[in-house]
Amino acid sequence: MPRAVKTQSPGRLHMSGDRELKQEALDELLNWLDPDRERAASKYEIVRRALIIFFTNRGCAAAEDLADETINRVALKARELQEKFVGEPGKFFHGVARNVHLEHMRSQQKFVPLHDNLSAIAGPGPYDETVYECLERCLQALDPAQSELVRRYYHETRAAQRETLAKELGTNVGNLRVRVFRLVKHLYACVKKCVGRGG
Amino acid sequence: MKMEPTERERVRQYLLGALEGEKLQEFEERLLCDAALLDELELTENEVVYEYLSGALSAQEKSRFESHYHLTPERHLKLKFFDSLKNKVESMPAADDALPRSWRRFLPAFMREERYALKLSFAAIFVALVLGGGLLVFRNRGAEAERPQLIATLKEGQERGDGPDGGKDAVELTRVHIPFAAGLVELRLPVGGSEQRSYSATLFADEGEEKLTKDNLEVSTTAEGQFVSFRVESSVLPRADYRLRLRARAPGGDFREVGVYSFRVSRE
Repeated sequence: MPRAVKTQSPGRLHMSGDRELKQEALDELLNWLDPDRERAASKYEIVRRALIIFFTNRGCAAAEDLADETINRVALKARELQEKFVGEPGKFFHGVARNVHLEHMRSQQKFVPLHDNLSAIAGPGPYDETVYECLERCLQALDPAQSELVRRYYHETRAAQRETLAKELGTNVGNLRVRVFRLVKHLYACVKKCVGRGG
Repeated sequence: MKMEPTERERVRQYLLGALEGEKLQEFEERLLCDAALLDELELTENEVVYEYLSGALSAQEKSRFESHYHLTPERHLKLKFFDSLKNKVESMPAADDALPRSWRRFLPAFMREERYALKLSFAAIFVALVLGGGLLVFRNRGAEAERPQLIATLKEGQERGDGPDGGKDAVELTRVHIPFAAGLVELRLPVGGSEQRSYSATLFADEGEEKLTKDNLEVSTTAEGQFVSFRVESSVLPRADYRLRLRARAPGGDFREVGVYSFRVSRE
């Protein structure tokens, strides 16, 4: 949910480049996304997530800032869009994001592809002791059944093994995949937090 | 987050930088309005990273991954995370007992679906079974309530057995003792012959007052013979003498009297 909506704050939403999105513009944007405020907030989050992926996948260093910059530009046109634009808002966001990306390419730093950066990572691979220790801690905090599920899922990677595991749990491979994904997402968030604290 | 395999493949191609032109634009525009596609993308990204670290990507995929998977700080951490996870699961001891096995493992694969519609169907079946069971219990309780507390078999005969004017056809008056204030009394009226006919019976008080008539009475058969059941609430039968006149429907459709049953009710 957009911060200004979530907190019911009448203030301003801070954006990149010292620019601010006024509450009024944010309201116009949300109205354009959906007349229902809850649904609009949900759509806003989807748009923001997708824009971050858009910029990350193009190797942009500041994907989040660029996503916010895109939203900012669209928000400033929201009133006009409500009156004139016909079609999926995603199409309009995409066009603006492409422009933001082109402008950014001319001036900003770009992250290098993986193979150029592998040597910069300590050791033979991306192994990191802090991350490993954090992971151990986070795994211990899980329910034993959950950590065993993670162990087996990543240990038994062949299709037939996954099928057996799914059957044991009384589900199918598709649902097992989603179940493990949610667990790993939780683990990743835990590790990220742990690493942020310095281990 | 249910995706068709082709859709998953498209997500994978996007992550590996294999989507271009219109397909890329179309995919990214969909991402901007499809939460399920975003989830699938995140899920597939995890899988691709893990496969890369495990050496499970094809040579072409590996090459694409390395040239396209830009190491933003977030992705850098993700790579380290999955590398640690890979090392960790390899060294973790198995804890088979920790993972509860579901009873649903005995079901065929399609029954193990966790789709909402399927769950709803099972829930509907469950509710129907519960309601059906409840109805059955309720009906049985109803039947229980309709079960007579007293059954008395009457003897056919028009005359009083203990009166001063008892004739030669007189039979002994059946005595019916009702020890309860409220409850159902079943009076069984023996009938001869095996014809399945419809019967009607009328209860008269001793003074000739008609108290109750019941139609469409059916014949039941026991080891003792055939009889017609006449059920009546005990409150209708205070202490007194009574007479039940039984009529049967003749083949022409008219009723004719087939028997008179006299009885005396005594109470507590």
